[in-house]
Amino acid sequence: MSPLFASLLLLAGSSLLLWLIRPHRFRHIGWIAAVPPAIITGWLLTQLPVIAAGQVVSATVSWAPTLGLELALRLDGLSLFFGLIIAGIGTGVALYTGYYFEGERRLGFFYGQIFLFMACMLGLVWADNLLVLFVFWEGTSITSYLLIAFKDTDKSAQDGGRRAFLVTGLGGLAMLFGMIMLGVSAGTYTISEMLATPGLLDGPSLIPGFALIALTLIFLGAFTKSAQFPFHFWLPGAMAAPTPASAYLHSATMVKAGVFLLARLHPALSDHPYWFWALFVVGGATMLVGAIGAMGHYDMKALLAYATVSQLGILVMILAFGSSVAFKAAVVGILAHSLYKGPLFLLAGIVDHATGTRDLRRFAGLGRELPLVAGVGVLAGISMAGFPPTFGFLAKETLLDLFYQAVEGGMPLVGWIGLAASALAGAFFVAYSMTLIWETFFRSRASYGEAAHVHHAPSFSFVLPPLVLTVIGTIIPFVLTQVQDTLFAPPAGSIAGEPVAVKLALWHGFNLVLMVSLAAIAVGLLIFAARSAVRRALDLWPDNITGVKLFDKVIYAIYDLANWATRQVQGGTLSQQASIFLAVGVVVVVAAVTRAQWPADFPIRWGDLPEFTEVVLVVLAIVAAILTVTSTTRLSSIISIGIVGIAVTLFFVFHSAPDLALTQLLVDILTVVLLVLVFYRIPPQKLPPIRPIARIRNLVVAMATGVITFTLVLFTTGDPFFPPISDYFSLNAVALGHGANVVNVILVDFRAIDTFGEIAVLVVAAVGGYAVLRSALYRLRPPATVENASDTAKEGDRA
Amino acid sequence: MPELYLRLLDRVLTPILLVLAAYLFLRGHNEPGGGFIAGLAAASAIQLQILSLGDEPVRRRYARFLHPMAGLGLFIALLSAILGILRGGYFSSLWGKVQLGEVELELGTPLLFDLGVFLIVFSVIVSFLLALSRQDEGKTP
Amino acid sequence: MSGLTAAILVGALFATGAYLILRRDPIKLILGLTMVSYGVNVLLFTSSTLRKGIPPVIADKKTFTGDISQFVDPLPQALVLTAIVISFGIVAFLVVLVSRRNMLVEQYGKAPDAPTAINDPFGATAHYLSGLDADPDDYEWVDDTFREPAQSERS
Repeated sequence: MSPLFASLLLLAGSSLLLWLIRPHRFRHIGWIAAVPPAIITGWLLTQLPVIAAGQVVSATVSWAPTLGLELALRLDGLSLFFGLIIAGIGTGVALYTGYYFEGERRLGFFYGQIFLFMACMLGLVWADNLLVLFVFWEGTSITSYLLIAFKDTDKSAQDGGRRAFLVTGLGGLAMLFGMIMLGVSAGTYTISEMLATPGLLDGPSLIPGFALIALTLIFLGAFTKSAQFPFHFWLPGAMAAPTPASAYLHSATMVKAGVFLLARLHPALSDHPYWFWALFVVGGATMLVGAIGAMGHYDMKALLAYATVSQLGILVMILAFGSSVAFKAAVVGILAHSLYKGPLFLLAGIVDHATGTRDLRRFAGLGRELPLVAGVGVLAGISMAGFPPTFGFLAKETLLDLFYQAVEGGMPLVGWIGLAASALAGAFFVAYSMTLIWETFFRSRASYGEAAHVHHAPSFSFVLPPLVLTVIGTIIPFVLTQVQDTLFAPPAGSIAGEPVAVKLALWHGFNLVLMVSLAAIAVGLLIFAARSAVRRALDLWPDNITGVKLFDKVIYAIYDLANWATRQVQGGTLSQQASIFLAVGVVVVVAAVTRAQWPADFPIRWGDLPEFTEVVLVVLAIVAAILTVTSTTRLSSIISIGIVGIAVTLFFVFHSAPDLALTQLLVDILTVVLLVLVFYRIPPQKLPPIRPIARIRNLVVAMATGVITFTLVLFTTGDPFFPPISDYFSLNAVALGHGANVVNVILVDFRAIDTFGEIAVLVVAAVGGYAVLRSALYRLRPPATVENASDTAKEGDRA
Repeated sequence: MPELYLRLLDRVLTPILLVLAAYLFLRGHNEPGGGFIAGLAAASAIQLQILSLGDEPVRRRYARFLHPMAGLGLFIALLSAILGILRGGYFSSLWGKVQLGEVELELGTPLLFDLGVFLIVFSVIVSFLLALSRQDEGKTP
Repeated sequence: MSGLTAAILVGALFATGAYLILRRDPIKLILGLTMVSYGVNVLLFTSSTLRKGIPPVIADKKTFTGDISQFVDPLPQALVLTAIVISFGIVAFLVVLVSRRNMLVEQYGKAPDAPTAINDPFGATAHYLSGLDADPDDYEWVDDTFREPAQSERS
């Protein structure tokens, strides 16, 4: 088996196993749990030189061949790069989780979910088929929902999870349509073939705005997943998740799936002008909203969430461009962000674990109590701030360099705007990074409430994962010449669609880019100094104009609409509901009949008269049916309906259907006896006389139903629209079915699967009847109580 | 005592109806009849018993067989489908000939399937009849 | 011409069935559904061309030459045959439901605090209660087990 599939199966298997062994009983389970992702990381590392040499690893399993769907995985530069981040950070998170939950009963459940997520995420980046990618994409949405809502008694966690799921799920649905449009246009869903299709965005045939629609749909998926403005609000809400999940899903991996998709499709779609403007504007707006918003929060995780939003905006903005600097900047930005933001989240979890709070206002001199944690925090923090000579500095340099190149390369307006915006964002990066590190570890006294102190010192193994990740991030800038060809060039080449030479250096000499960078740091330090004023200013933003509030308003409006519609359609007595139901059926059939092609000899061939026997039969049936309606006693109505059944039986006899006649006759007998048995045990109800208006409504609906079915039959008994397949059954009944009764041969041989389904229905009906008779007895509370109770419950929901 | 006649009828008619059901079932593949019809005919024989003897004696006699019978029917139908894998695939039929003296019988998995249909139709309908003819229902839940 | 008579039959069965369903009496509901199921069966049957012919049963298997010109369409017959049996099963299930409901309503009416309006779609003054299933406390459990008489009590 290909190692690619083996990896996915390994993770899925570990997910199940870690859940089943109830891992909270073992103190150092984290070390065991880290083994599967570590194995995958190791294997991926061995593939680095192979991929860098220009080869690809691929594996395919046929899934649904009739749909053209195959489980195709492919390892190229980009997917290897993302795979390393996912498996590498996954190793750290798996180790960290064991200590974070420390004997909590639901640890196994958490492990199961996060390993399942890891498998989905790896499948997502390795997929070589757009539909397979979509399936894994939704898999990450679902596991993300479960992980955010993990604290099952916490309402904010439930709300946050639901919002995240709705936003990313709806975006994913839009994306699916976009993918199908691209697939139809290319004639294939295999990504590697699709990217090689020329004119992918021209569409199959003269659909106006094909490129615009397809791109918008794809963007909706990518932007919601990667928390781009205006969909960014779900990410801070997702911080209700346990910290390992926040660090892993909502900073290092899952939120980068949108960026990954854009990078993956970059070679085929980036030539369209709409691509550039959408990504540039949305990414830029997200960058600023996130960077500025981060300053307004005191919760460590909320601050980091906004910082993540900002970084995701930068990555999207980079992908708008198509120059080799852009590819370099994207790759460096993705890795740098994962290597400082992941550790910072993990540290926030450690601090929370040790002191019981994440509120920045309540820390005082924590650095003395947790020296190792503070040291790691400083290293990761200066990288986030972008101070030289860190990885974050390198990322910021390449970003600024990208805009500088744009200025030089004939796009002065775009270049200057980008340069200014990213310098502003860079200043805020410095400010919030400083705020986070300073207030957590070094400030001497708490600004609000009682100072929090360490009551539960973290073990070394707990701090190890952020430590290792930060050290890797610190070392990389100093070994650039050794790693740039194997680590950075292949993914940049995948985004470009052709090999790209990557030359990276920390020091470019004194040029404009360095000046801007230093100026941003200076401004950032000023903002840091004046941070209380900035926070007060951000507080002025009105509370009810936030993404969360607006989104909730829309959702509640949908609930209200659904409630209202249900009450209208299914709110009244059974007869009201049935009238609506039948009336809708009438409307549908009328619409169909008026649009249908009328048969040539329609309505009726008056030439041949119906046979006398048939007329007698039908008259008998109709008279009996009317008697059933009008009879005042139960016995007479039962007898009348029995006569209707006999008339139908004779109808079948008349039309040469002996099997049907036999069946109908027996069923008729059984029905009559059944009705007699039951009805005498149900006492007659004393109902008030029917209102005239209701009687008229019933008559109208019933007549309309009758007329419509009448027309329907006239249609179906005309000339057949297509040749019946029945002749095949008649001709082959003896040869293939060894039977002379064609009807029975069809039932038990030719169409036996249908029959099997039908007898299963019978068994289900019997089981259902048995269950109803055996169900426990209950009665409703008096309605007044019920209504009051549900009213208060509803208000509670809203509050 | 009108019940006396019903009882007499039951003694005579029930066996006749059951034999008729068996006959309808056996000839089903070549002439009108088959599992559905035979199941209904057999069920109406039981219905006659319920009418003449009351539901309790009939329940004592048959109730415990009904659910196993429905399950057995589904199992037999499924088995005949799975046997088809031996030749061709799921739900394809197998046929063989058996010589019984002068008469040559053709036997195959579709007949087995028909038997499953018969068992299910019979047991489902009889269980409904018994459930609805419960005399004490409504008084002591 | 058979098409017209069949159409009239189906139309009449559907119209009377629909009218019965729309009445408030649960027994009329059962009668109506039976009627409509007869109508549906005939409607399905009319999807063949309804020409005159002989039943689709081959007279002699040994001498069968492939002459099927006189046969009527066997496929709708097979479809309708199962439909008849299934619709009987469904009607029986419905009868069980109605009879069970009747038992509940009887119990309910005897309760000392019985209100005048209950959430019963058959009832004359039925009304809609929103969020009824939201809370298990909305129900008051009368009896948790459906007691089967023991073997000794029966005789």
